[in-house]
Amino acid sequence: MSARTLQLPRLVAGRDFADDLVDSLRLEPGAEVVVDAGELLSGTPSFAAELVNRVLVAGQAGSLLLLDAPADFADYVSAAAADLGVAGKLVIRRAVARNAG
Amino acid sequence: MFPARPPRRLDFLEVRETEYGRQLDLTDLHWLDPLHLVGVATHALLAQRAGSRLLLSGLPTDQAYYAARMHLGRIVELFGGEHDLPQVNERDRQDRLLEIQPLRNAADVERLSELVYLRLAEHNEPAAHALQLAIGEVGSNVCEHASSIGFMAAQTIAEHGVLRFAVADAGVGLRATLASIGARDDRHAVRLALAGERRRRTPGRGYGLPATVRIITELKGELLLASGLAAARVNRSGSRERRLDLAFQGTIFEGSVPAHAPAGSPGRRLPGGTHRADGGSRTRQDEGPRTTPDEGSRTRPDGSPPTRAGEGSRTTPVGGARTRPDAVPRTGEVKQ
Repeated sequence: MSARTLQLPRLVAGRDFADDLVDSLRLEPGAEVVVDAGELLSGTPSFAAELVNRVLVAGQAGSLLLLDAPADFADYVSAAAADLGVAGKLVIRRAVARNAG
Repeated sequence: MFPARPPRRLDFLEVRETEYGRQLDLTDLHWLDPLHLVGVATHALLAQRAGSRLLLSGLPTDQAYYAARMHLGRIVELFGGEHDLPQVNERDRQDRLLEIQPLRNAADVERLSELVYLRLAEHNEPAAHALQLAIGEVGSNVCEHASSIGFMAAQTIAEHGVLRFAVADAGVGLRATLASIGARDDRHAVRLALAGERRRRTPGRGYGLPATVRIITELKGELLLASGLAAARVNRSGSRERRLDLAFQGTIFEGSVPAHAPAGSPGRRLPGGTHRADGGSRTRQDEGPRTTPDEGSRTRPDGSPPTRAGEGSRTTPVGGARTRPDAVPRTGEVKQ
């Protein structure tokens, strides 16, 4: 099973940017994708939704592990995964003592 | 509460066809908001699209200087129009958080949402976060749905503690955009956009505006959304709708949030950090105080600040005299 890691920058917005980032992963079906959001300061719901869509729906990845995301961004990802019917493939590990935003 | 501008402020944006072009006379507009800046920009674009040109005139002197510093003249010229705005010192950043900027594509949206975040974050992280989200989402909607370029602008008025930003496009409007999910008219379309219609939309979509509403109202801010003949202002108490006297071709959005971070919510230190050089807000010195006759007092002859409520002299707590981080691109240069 292949694994891919995506490091999010400090600020992310827009579906196009999510598309660009996921394109760079060269995903294969069943891949385990780690999204490292440790540097993220702020991200938009549309970016989060497109990230989930491209990785877990269109990309057919086996799982998406979201690491160290701000609370609100983690909520956006979680809501999108539920909406897209792939919540079972999403794992969120929240940062300790990290503020939202 | 930090109110958005009332929809009647859009009524100033009435153009008149003349043999020389489309005349927009702003003589009666004594306080220029980001709402007007982006609105005028859309008129300039619409005029060019129609094979005409925008003729902008009449702004009172202090407003004209402000408009020029916000690069309104450049935008009008960019679309073949003419104006009577003065030449100004481009390095004077008073009042500006973000000059009028075209939104042509997703890269513009990413760049501008990041720029505004970086300009605000150290002083007011909640507002920085709200604007990054709002500009990212509303700007993306322009690029994805409007079939037109858009414009955005932002300003701060420190003494009244308000930060205003606006995004507009001269596109197809919300009614056309949301017809596929059942928008019956402009009013219904505005409602659907704000609520995030969830029954008939594509899964994974429709988060943007509802999230924008939530983050702005959580800061005790307010937003205005108008398209066609419908407008709605939304705050913590709910939504108030109004039918416009003058249809807005496309969609226009304004948000207002506190310019100062709440106590106990310090700004975020950014790598390569920014800092303020002046240590506080200031009033304009070159043009005297800014006043608003429809909501406040006119400029005093001696140039002293007004005493009535309303927005007196414009000041800038962010984006004013401060050191830019190297990572922040220069702004205000409209690529032509």
